[in-house]
Amino acid sequence: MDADIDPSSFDLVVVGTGLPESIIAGAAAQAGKTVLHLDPADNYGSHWATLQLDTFVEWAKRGGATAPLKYGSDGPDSGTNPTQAPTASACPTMESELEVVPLAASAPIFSDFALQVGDAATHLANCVLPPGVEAPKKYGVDLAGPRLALASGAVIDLLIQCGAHNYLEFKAVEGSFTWRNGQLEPVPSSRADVFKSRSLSLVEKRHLTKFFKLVTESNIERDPSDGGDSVSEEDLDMAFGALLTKHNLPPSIRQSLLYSVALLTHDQDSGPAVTAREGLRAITAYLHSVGRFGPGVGAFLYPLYGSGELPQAFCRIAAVKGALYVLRRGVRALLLDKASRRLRGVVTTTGQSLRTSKLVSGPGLLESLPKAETQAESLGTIPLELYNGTTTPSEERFIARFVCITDTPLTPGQSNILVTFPSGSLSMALPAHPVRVFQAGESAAVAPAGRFLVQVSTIGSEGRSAREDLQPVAEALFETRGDADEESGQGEEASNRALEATDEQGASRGTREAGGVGERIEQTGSDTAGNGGRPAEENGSFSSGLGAASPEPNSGPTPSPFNADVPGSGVAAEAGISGTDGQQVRTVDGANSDGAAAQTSEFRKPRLLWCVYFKQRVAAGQELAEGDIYVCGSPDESLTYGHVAEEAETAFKRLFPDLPYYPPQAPEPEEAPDEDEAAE
Amino acid sequence: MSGRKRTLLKVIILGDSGVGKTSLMNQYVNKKFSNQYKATIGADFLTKEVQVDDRLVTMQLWDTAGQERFQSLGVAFYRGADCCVLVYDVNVNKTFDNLDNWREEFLIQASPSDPENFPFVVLGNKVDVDGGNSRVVSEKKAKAWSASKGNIPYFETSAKEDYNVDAAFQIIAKNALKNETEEEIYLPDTIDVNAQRPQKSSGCEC
Repeated sequence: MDADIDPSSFDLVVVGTGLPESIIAGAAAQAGKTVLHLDPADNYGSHWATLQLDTFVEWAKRGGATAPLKYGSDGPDSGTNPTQAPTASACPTMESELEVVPLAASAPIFSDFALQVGDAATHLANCVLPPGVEAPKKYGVDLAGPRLALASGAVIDLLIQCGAHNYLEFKAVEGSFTWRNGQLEPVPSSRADVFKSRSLSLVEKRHLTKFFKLVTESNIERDPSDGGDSVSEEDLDMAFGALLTKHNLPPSIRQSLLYSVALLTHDQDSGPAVTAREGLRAITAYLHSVGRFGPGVGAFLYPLYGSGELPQAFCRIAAVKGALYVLRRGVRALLLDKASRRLRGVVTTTGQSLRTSKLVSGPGLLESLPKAETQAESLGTIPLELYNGTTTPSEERFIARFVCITDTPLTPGQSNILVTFPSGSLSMALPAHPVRVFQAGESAAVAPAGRFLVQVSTIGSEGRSAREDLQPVAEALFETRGDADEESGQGEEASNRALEATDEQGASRGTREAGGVGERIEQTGSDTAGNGGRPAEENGSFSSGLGAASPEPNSGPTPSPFNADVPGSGVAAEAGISGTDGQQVRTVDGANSDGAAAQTSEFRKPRLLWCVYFKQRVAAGQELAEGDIYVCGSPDESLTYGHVAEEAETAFKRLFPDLPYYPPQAPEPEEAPDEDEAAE
Repeated sequence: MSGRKRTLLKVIILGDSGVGKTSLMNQYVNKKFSNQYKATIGADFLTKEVQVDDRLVTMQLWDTAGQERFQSLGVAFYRGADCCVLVYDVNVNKTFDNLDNWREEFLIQASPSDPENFPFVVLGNKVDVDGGNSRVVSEKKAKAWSASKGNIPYFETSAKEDYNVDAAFQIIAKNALKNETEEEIYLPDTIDVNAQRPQKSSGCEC
């Protein structure tokens, strides 16, 4: 139904439901502004969406563009003839003072799609899901993946602060690994991990423990003049990589710390290096995330059903606060004041003129009209760049992405894991920058039972396709030829059992009811209220976890490096069902590779069933038209949401300098506020 | 399989704008009714403890938060629902005709594992209006439609007069619970970033 939007005047119009747009919409609605939130697509999330596999394939076939909008197809309601150039005549009072500025098509955000089914490269147009990839609706492909939330990161705090966490459930990422010499090595992220590690020598363990101690004690966020800072000012300004070398950390650990703990996105040995100050801050953020949501829970969280749930949670917050939501509708033109050139309104893709003085858009969405539409305009089109952009677009860069499906997990018994390839960890020079790999399965509700969805990304190299960049990684991790049938048969069995094991561990919804995270957070300060029987100090920050000898309830006599690191099993053991889970995970190891999986050296490549490579342009956020318009940046190369949260907050404060940004929620008044005039 | 008791039931209430979704929720949970229609603002979800047979369950009633106005409810809204309540206004034909669309939309978006047997409940609301004289959808017609869609329980309600509201929601809770026990096998272990769910019991108080 293309019914006109009523009312026709808003404080803010937002186009696109990507994460930054949605956070801004929520903030504005919560601050009492009237908000209209549009999206030309018929699903939420824009560039941050999670798509079912069939929808994803259709999206890829369109080259990553929004499905063309159908105009005037719904009978008398649609009102305006879309083939006419929009004019301000829909609002006669506006006509004389306003200029209609149709929007020009921008360069596409996505490009370079390449498909591979089994061992054969295929044209996307002929894409047929191969045998073994059934139930496409059970998959959830993140367009901005891999993307994980740091447990103590800004986006989690924001969700809790505004109440949007009520709409989400999170899975803990069960393991984090660094690729080294063809193996997956667990990332040491606590003193306990360091003790357990089998790949470190005693001397190395000592140096790493010392370094972790230094990080927690130096407390980078504090004013360095306070004292207690054991890293000198001079050292803080040096390159982070050099600082690690200075602290006697061997190359393998250094790589792990740079790329798997500090999560740096660029190669630190060529090009601009991150300072020790930034690096230590990143490591601190990571270490604070470990265990925030209970003992044994690692640094990363992933929303059930995929990362596309996040923008939807913020949109619902906005809707609850009165924002009006209209999918399948975008903006085709701006209405500018002829004299001042300030924004006065927009023309929707259905031809309706709406008044607004502020506009926020996702990258490429203002301009996302099909070509034919824009060409039909009789008025000249003006590229947005002509307005007083206060930020100049930074130099163009791309992210190479890769999505694939396998039938065996990368590490036995684990469904949701992160793998980092430090730059230079593959024998070939490519890719130049670190590569992130996130595998998720049925337990995260993004794949059917016995299947795993793996998402990979890195900063794309100049002049190379996504495939050229990422194929070495695919070949290192996966069996891309079809001769792995026997193994994968076993693997499937193993993975099913692994999932059962996960399920048993998961049998602790009791944990969930017993103690909310919020309570735990409060508890780190108070130590009083009961919390599912857990001693409060275990819920504390990293430093307290370090201080207390970390309990290892499920470490059997011969724990494999893998299952000993499964946070899930730690949680299950806490909940009182230990004894069985460790055993089961070990059974899985045995089934998969003759019990030898206990050695890191037994990495077995899962079979690659299906994959797609594509490239995404990184567009920086831009302020346009005297600051009345903000075009959000596209997803960037980082693994986490830190930049997005920061961007949304900055943009909001620029648009509405006088308004509070997600202030703590006061209890709502007994009666609904009377400002709503939308009565019909 | 896991033997876990999940006591939180997610119930979503669908239907055209203005049929009384928020009013029904409010009448049921808060025993309140406002005659003045406002497109929903500020309604999030309301929770209520319900006794079903010998089990005490918490029913979480999710409002559309107005996102239904332009058919713009996202998939996240539908996810994990244990029961879907379809509401129409017995005085407006179109709201009844659209029940089909809402049901379809739900089945597509929520993609329940057993769509044939997913519990729906249909409510014909506003039977009080004008003493029933402005009614255009007959009970017979509504019952026939409900029966044809897999014997969906049908109730005639008035949020304003508090007519049949409790009875309807009792069945909603019962059927949601039935569905929940069938699906609980696949509920995975999730991290609870959720501080306030228990305290939300008074809902959005509006």
